[in-house]
Amino acid sequence: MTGGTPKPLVDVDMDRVVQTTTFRVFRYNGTGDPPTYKDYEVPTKRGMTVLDGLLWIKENLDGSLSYRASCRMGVCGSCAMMINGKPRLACQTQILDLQTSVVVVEPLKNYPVVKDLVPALDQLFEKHEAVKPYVMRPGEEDELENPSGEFEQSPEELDEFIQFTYCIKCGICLAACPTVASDPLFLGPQALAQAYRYVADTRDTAYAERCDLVDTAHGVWRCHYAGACTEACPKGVDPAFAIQLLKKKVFQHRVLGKKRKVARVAPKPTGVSRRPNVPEPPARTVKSD
Amino acid sequence: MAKPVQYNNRLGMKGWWGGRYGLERWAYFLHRLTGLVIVLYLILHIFVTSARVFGPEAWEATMGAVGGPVFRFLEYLLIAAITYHGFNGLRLIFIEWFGWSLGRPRRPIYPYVTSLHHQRPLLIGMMILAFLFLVFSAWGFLTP
Repeated sequence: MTGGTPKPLVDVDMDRVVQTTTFRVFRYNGTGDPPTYKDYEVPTKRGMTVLDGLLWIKENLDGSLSYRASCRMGVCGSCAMMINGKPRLACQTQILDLQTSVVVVEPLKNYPVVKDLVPALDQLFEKHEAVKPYVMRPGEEDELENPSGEFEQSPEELDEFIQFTYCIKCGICLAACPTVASDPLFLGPQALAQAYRYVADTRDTAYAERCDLVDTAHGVWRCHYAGACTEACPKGVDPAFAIQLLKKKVFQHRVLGKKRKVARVAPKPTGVSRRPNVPEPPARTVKSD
Repeated sequence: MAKPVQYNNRLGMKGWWGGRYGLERWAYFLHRLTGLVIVLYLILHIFVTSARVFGPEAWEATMGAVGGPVFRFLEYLLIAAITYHGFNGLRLIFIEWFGWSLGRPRRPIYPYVTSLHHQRPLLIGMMILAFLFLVFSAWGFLTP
């Protein structure tokens, strides 16, 4: 081996500007004036995302541009917006991948716009809340507050719903959904997928209650499997799939009267003692009222 | 300071258009469109056949007015709409009630494989069936 600087694995100059991209950005001043589109020229480097472009515009061209962003790595779900006509996460969309010199950036469709690229997501969270997205065990509230053990759930039972727990509540699916576009009361892909997540979870015993909750005029049957939510979802959650499985469950519950398996509290192991070098767990820090 | 006003960005019925999405969303658009066509036809159908109330002459006159080749072709288009709606509706019943052709939930590992990929053969199969049905009905319908 000889010394000297090691050769880079990829021989690409990441700092070189490879194209100038026109950002056509939706501007709305939040006072009821009609929205306009404003063009910004953004020098684009390899690997630059649409969010990087917006940050660059805000730093260098127009400080009045508003948008939401936080983690810039596809986890928080803040930067969902329409990019060239499709809802995407700005932080996960590379400008050069779009293969165009004009990038049209608009706020998410089907939500009211607060300012520029900032949508009001109230309806998303209200609908999410409406399907009661938490483990419910009617009659066993005390067990949930002061658990005496863990609920028994097999890895196979977990696989039935774990895909749908990856939702980051970015709201992209509601912007893609054709039913949400014309029916403001429709629960929407996000909430229904979360309803299925708990309907399929054996630890939850409110199976019948949740089935009845979504079996309404603006509930699960408004979906006709357009699949746009699944196509747009940046996390691979497949909400359309969850909704079809939820319909199947509602059908089984309503028509066939089928019940679902319920996870029991795992019994305490008997005839064993704690190893002396394993300390006791600390006392509870959360007070229950 | 001006009072904040939110801009209504809901797409409305424009949002039904398939746009840049996949086959299933176009299937959804056509399903809605053909559904509306069938409902409109039902109203028209009741209106036209109600001529019977005004006696045999009125019935014959109305039937003569809607019996030309143009109406025959429009009727064929109606059959096409009903055929599409029926076969696609069957697909939706299979998927919604029984969960057929969707596969199983999987861990989301990139590149994501979704239920859409899984059920696409069913969609294409149903469309082939609808097409064959239409070819056969064209035989009896459009030949004099």
